[in-house]
Amino acid sequence: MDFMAISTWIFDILILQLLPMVSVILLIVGIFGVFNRLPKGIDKAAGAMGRQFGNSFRWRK
Amino acid sequence: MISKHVLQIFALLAVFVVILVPFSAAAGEDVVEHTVQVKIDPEDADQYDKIVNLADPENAITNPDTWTPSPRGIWTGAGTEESLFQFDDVLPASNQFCVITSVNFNSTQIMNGASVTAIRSPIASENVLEMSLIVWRLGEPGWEVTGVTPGQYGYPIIEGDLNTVAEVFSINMTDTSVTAGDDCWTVDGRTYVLLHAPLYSGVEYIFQWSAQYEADCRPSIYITSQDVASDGLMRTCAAIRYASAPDEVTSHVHDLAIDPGISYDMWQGLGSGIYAESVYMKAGDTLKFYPRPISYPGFDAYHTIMIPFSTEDGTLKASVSIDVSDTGEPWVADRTEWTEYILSSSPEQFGSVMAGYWGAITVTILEAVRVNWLLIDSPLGGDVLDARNSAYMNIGDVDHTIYARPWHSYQMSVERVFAPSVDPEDFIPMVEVQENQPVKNIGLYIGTLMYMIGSTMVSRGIVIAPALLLMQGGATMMAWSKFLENEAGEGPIEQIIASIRNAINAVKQALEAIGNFLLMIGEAIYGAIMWLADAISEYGAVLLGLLIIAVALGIFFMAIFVQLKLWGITWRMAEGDLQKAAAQAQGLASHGQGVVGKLRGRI
Repeated sequence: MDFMAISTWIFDILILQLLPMVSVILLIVGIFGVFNRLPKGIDKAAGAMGRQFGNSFRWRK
Repeated sequence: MISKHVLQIFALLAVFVVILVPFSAAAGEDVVEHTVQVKIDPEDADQYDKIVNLADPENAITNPDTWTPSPRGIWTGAGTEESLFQFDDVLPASNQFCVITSVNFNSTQIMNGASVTAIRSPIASENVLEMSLIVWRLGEPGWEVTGVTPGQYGYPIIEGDLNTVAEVFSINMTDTSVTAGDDCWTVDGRTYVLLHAPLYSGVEYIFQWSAQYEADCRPSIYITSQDVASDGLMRTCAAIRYASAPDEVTSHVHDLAIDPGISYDMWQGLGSGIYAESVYMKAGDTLKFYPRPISYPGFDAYHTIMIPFSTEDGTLKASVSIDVSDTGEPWVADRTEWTEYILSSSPEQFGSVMAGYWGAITVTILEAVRVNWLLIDSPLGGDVLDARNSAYMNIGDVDHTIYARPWHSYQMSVERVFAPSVDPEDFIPMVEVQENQPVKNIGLYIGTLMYMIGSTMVSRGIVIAPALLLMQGGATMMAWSKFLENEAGEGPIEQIIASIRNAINAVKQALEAIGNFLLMIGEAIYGAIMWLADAISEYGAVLLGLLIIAVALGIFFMAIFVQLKLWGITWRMAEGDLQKAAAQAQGLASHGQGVVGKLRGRI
């Protein structure tokens, strides 16, 4: 096997096989992370909205 | 229940089917009987004399026992004694009787073939004046005797793909000696021929025996009911022609489905195309043959002959003479002692080309020695009617014909060719080598330099007198250096001529040196270019491979980096932290800009 064949084989392994596999793993981790963070974000947004509403309806002395 | 009985009947039927069918088939098998019937055609069936069938079962002896001498090689023929068959034609003085048959030996009988074969004629020798044998090789199967050519001296017409293998004419019927005389002998009413011709197995040969009888005799031949050579060919054609008067010629052909009483004793075997004929030769015995013609090269050339041989010690004393067609004068080889082979060239160049029938090569033996001559033949090779496919030996003043070509080489060459020898007399004197000794030209070079400097000074007007003196001194040195340094001759004229010649040689050598130098530079440049081309073609692939690996790594890690960044942005957005998400996006964008900037800078 000459050097050209070795380099094309490395290209095939990295780009055509490893990269899609790593991308799928990142996709799973990413989606898991999104769902893991969503409650906190919603809680944060809802809290902010509640505080905003509370401030709006507070009886002003 | 009737069904139970039906089942039993079915079972019995099954047994019968299984047993009876093969049994009846075996019992009813037809017995094939092989019968061989030898039939003589009705028109020929009664053409024999009742009293001449000499085969007597009471005292039967085997056919080989009737041979003289007893068979010494591989014997092939009818096992039981043959019967004499006499035709009822009473022949006048002008007559000819021919027996034609074919035979195809197989390899289990004679392996590849035989080169020397004793053959016994089927024609009874009684009252036979002259006999001859012609052997043909049949190229394609099938042959017919369609008749006899008209006229007083007609001969049988054989139609088929005939190629002549051997022709033995005028068999001496008075020769009764097996060991002496010609290659034939007649003993006890049977005639034998010792045939020096290659006979191959698996090839069909036609043997035609011809006989001329005394007047008032009836032709008779020996026949056998057996298949000679077990070749499946049982056929005897007898062609009879006789002329009671020049205008009264009778001829007829009998085609008998029976083998004639021919038997063969193979004395020597046969190689695959090349074989040896071992002959004890004495001083004066000769081997003669005609070489094949060689193409004319367009100019006179030496004729060279090479003949290999084998003796006990590898040497042979023999003179070799060659007839050349145009002069008719034979030339004789200088040498008479040879080792392993004869090799000789003609003493002068000839323009003519030796043509087969006009140029004969004769080897005359000068000592008593057994010689093995190598002979070449092919079962599908040439026709012996071409004399170049035969050799003629004269052993003790008796001629023998070998129907194969001696292995030899006959060629033309621009120079004479000699066999290796330690005797200087065997070679032509060589021209003495004259070594070309270079002459020292130091005086010439110094003189030339002085003359050039002097002439330069004169041309620039520098000190005329010393310059002229320098020039004169230089010229004098140039001239005298030749007188002093060369060894060309004694007289002054020769010295001057030698000086000029040496000066010209010096200029020529200088020019040659310059030319060689330029040539060397050119070759160096050419070599460098070729090296560069080789290097590019060799290392270019490596560089490209490295680039591919770098690009692959870049794409791989860049893609992962970008994805991580994107998920980071997404996570920050999921947390509701828009500021951090924007910061992540900005970082990704700036990183991309940096990469693009770097690439732009590189490119």
